Amino acid sequence: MVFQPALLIPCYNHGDQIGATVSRLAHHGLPCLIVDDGSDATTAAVLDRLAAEHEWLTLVRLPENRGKGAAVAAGVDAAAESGWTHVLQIDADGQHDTDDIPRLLDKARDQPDALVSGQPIYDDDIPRVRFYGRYLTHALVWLETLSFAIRDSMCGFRVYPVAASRELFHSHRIGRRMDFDTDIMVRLYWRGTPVVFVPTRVRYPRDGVSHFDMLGDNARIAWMHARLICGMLPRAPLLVARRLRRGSEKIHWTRQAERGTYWLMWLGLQLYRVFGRPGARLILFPLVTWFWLSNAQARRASRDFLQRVYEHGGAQQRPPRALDVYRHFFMFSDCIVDRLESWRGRLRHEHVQFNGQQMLLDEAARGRGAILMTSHLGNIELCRGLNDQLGNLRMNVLVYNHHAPRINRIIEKSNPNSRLKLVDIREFGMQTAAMLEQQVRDGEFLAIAADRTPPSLNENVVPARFLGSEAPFPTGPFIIAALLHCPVYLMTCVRVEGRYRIDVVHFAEEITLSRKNRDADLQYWAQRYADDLEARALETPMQWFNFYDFWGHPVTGDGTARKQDGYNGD
Amino acid sequence: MSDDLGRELKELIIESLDLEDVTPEDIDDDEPLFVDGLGLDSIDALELGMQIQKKYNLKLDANNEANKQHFASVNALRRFIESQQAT
Repeated sequence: MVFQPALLIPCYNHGDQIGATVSRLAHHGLPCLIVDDGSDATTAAVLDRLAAEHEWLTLVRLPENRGKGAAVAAGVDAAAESGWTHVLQIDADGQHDTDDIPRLLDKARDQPDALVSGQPIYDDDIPRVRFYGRYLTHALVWLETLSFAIRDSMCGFRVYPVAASRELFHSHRIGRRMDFDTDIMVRLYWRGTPVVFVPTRVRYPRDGVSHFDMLGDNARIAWMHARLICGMLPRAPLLVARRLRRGSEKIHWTRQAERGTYWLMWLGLQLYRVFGRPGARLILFPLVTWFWLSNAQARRASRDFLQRVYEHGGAQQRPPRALDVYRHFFMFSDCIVDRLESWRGRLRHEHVQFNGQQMLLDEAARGRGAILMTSHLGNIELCRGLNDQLGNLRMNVLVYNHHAPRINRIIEKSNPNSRLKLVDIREFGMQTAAMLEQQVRDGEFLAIAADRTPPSLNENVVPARFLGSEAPFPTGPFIIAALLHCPVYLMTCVRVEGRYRIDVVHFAEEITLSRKNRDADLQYWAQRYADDLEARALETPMQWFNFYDFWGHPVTGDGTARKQDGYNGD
Repeated sequence: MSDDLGRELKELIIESLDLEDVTPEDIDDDEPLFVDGLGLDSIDALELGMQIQKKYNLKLDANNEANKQHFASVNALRRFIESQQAT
């Protein structure tokens, strides 16, 4: 395929800046189209003079102002007539870093079918409101494409493949003003044009002419998203199929969760702030539905789990059907909404029944902490919002998650009085152990989920019977408990008849592991934990939030609890 | 005095890890504690780390690799403790 790129600058009344922008482009040795989008007489005169001075400039003039989208469309037409295959669009006001032009073009040369877009790295001078606005747009675009492929849809610094773009302009009315950049990117993606990104610096010019019209453009953007979401629905099966073709590999739960949890939480919280519960639901329900549609692995896992509950005489009283699986997924989104409600401090005492609260308060009164073993049954994260009920106990939640510091910031922002912190224990070494021990000695509590295996599989796991067959359980929580020589409680939080019920039960005064029979000891404790979890899972199966093959990755025979390669620091 | 510290460390290792059939004389000063020599594993290392830290009031490194060096043998451990106490 021939690769003949040209530059394209839509220009509307940027007479002051266009000269400087043009002079920065000369050394690239590329033809350049300037589309005068009905500028005033002053700017028009500047453009005429520039076109006369530089023979590599071609001026296309629109009789009246029609907006950026129309200007780019006119430029694409002109490029096609001149035989250019790609146009690299640059804003006239100088906010794009023209030094990155070769990098964008290199990418386009490698992937001539793709739309190559700059992915902005902002200087600190971006206005706050627009910064947040961008994140809302990102999330909507993910929904509209049912994919995380589009990382930024608003940066105008892009290389358009002329043929595909022209076809789209001619068959469809693309947004013409501030809605243009997102609209065309989503629609090109729908039509199978890959979208790739090149990071680039973007500057907000202080003295620049901004054409953003608060009322009109926001309405236009909202209307565009409404149309795109409606357009997504009939395309959903194709979009999902496309996603599945690209990557159907088995993914460990930590990676699956990382994919979107952080932004989902952030977005949910923002919508919750503005629109309350219905607003948060508005965004979470479609996302859960999408998850349900697109994630066959999670659907299978849910059905398998519910089947086992049914066979063991639990609260699932018939062989699970598709509807049960959907309800199971739905429960999860509801749980996220409840979690947001509690983090915002809106969950009131009468909505929560706390069994065993006194035991924790007694421990704290004795000036020592304890380990609270939790699980992914129910909504334990809700407890983060329950400062009052927890009598200001200090909580540290041990997680395998490098987003821990970011999530801590979210918690702090949403509830400045929170006495809860996340601790990342992926790199567990002597120092981590010593730090945790100090925390317990200072009377703090450590919560750790003991139902999920650590990110590196088949390492540090032990088998325990759970709902009929052996499943791998992590040894980490029991080893940590043994190292700290402190009491251990089990803690769950489930919704029963519209209220939350927190149960704390005593598990062990101290977990000891004998050196000789360490594996057998670990298996004993894991089995006791699994037995308690099983009884609870049978009671509230719809609140089981492990949407992956829980029994997968069978534990290999001997000594898996102990690393065979000896001490390697964790 | 360093010999005393060496013996003290060996006793601590035996006691805190419940090594029933081992006496201080069985442990060579330069013998690797983990895997090859005494055959301790990662969980032993954590337990030992906690005990030694408490007893000698040490500040362990945030870097696991460095800790691994400090706990390589009785002699390495002794040097580490002495260097911390000197400061």
